[in-house]
Amino acid sequence: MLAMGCRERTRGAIGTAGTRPAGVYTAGAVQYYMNVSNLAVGRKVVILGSGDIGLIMARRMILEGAEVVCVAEILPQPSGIAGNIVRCLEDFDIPLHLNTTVVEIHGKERVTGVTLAEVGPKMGERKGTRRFIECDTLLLSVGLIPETELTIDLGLSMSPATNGAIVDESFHTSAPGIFSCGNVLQVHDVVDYATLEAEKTGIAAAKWAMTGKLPDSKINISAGAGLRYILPATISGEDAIDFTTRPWKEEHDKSVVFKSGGEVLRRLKMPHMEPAGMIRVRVGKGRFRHVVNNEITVEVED
Amino acid sequence: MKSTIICIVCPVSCPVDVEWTKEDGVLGIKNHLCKLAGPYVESELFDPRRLLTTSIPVDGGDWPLVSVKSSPPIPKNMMLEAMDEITGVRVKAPIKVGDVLMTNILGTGCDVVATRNVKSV
Repeated sequence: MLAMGCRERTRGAIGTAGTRPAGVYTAGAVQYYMNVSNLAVGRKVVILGSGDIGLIMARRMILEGAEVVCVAEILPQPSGIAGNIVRCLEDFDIPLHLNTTVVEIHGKERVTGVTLAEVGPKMGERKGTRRFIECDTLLLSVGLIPETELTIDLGLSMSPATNGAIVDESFHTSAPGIFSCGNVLQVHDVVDYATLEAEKTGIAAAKWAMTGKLPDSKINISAGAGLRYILPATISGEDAIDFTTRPWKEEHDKSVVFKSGGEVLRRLKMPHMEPAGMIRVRVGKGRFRHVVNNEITVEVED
Repeated sequence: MKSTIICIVCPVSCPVDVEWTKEDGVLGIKNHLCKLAGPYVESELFDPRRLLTTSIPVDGGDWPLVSVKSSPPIPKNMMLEAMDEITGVRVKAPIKVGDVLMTNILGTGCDVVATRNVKSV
């Protein structure tokens, strides 16, 4: 069962210029230091990236007595879910600067500050927007990289959209007896969803180990307009399925629609969706009775 | 009055449109996916509260800290004050999930409750 999770993108992975002082940490490392080892990492903090772990650590550091100067996000929209923007930033009046990144890290032994700059639509630095912010700690929350080395070495079919294995409704990969789940399969917003996925995968793997059989996943599911991916990629139609997907961009008052042979199987109204929020849709098995040619397309519609 | 309040009950984070007045309370809400949004919006307008999560040092345990939460959620504007109360408190292992480690913090009626097990060593 492939459940290797993700590693955090580091300073090296994003290539930030400047010196190499102590005080530059990934958000997950700080989470471990503070929550498990009872160690404080700094007093005046700038956070680069608005991923969920970075947002949660912003609140955590404020509660533990540090000052969080600001959060800088290079994209025009936050990477974390809206709920975390509210309860981790707005509750504590922490400014969030969008279209902004750290262009230089300062300090010899220890971080003494960072230079922020705004970026244009093509991610180029906007001239004349540089400003120095004094801080002793830079916390990075700039994305997760799935630990897919093993998946790749095994030669499994991979999804370019999730960087994880392609799986059926039992979380069974293209190789018999090999399953995958968790953040190495698709990056989850919250641990609860990863746990639910792991439980299902464990039950399916046990069924396979005991009987050598799994439901025949003959129906193909594909992501159409507006969606980056849909998981699982194939289903049997014999059971209800919890699909997971993410939109390409922020949308209001649209629907996620499951279709087969031009007919609608299921329509879920979405008052609001955004790339930062994974969408989970349960589709009951009764809906799969009308599938045509074993093909289902899922897309965003008005 | 019309406001948009982001529901933080679950990760979906619905941006709930709410119509309300100070005198009559919530008159109507829309743009939400489930029934949890109603009570949340009501509380957010008239008595905003947050689940306070932090950790407390443990003596003689297999972990140096025990994670804790406020139960029920405490008034939003008292979070930092509550942290001052919690800072300096130490507890002794063993601790079980659900153990009440502090009671009636700042007179709010909220307790501080353990959210993990710590064995004694």
